[in-house]
Amino acid sequence: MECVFGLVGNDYAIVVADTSAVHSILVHKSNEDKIMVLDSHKLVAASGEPGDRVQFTEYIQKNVALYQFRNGIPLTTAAAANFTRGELATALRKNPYQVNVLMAGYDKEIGPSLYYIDYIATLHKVDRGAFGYGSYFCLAMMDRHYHSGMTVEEAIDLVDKCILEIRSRLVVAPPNFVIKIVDKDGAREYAWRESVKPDAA
Amino acid sequence: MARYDRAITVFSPDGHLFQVEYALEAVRKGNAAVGVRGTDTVVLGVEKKSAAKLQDSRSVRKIVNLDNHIALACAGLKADARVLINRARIECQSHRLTVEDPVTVEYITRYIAGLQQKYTQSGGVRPFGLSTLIIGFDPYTGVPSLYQTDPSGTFSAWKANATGRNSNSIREFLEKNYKETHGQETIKLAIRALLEVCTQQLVKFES
Repeated sequence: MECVFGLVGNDYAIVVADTSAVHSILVHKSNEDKIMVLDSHKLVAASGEPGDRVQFTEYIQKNVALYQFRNGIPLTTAAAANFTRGELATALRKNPYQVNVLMAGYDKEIGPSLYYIDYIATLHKVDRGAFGYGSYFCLAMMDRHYHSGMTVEEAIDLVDKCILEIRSRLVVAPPNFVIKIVDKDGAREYAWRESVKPDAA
Repeated sequence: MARYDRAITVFSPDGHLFQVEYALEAVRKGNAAVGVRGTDTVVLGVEKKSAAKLQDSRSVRKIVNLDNHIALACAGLKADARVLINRARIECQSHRLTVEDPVTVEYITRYIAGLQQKYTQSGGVRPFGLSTLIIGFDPYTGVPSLYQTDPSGTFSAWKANATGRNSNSIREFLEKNYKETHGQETIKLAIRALLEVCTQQLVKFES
């Protein structure tokens, strides 16, 4: 039921996540932010077991920060993605994290990048990726409409098309989504797409 | 008296821990470091020894960040400093992870001092040969602080202090000339204090 997807444009990367916190048949809240700002120029959109999701992403975030203090220079997106994959792999045959991650980042010399990291420590560098039941619809939409070098407006248009597909075709579609973007100016929230006004929590 | 140099876990008959005092001697031989606290600013300055011609001086970092809002300078054994700084940086992130809050300056000072103390009460180890000056701002109130730790593991807050070479002269100067300052004035006070004892180029840092 959790939907996370993202894509890379000409000088930015966008990730989108639903914002429902669900336990069995109950929706705890519908404004849960699942996209963590890892550092100034990286975003981590995570889906999966809620406790694991928070625990794992916060752990990665603090280790990325520690690296920066120790070495005086931030990790590249590729390095952070590989570190994340390594942590998932190490835990896999003992105490696996049930967390899927899409890591988007912008590096000065390299530009934008997106990494698909699933819960069994698969790592792929991709142009577009998606997790969850929504992936069936998002990947199809993105395959149809994505082309490299899209502008932000075109990409947001594609994101909205994906959200529309999810809302109309997925049986328990999440009502609200958050969109975050990372480019040369940093990682930040771009917009929310709400079809149900969330509670004041 | 020489008998008590062997193991630091042993007191001398007159109540001294000689290893700790020898560590303080090592600090006294280190480069001067000064810290000054103002109303909205807190400054660290260190004496920069003239570098060997072939040495890349950019690789010698004397004032380091422990976290976004905390910085540290030290006098004494720089190799020991690396170890202490690394542990402090880990503790800063660990604190953020467990309680979702950045450390206060007092917390991290207490942690570093606690670490220094542990090494005065364990077998087979020697104390860290450095005193640190730790500056930062309280993450919520924004109040600036300056703390000092030493090899014995004691720490306290200061309005202005110095450690390392000629620290007594610098402290005398600060005692005579200290007043509540802000912004550039605080930096100037720190520079003047260091100039009392150094003729060489200085490295400055503002938090």
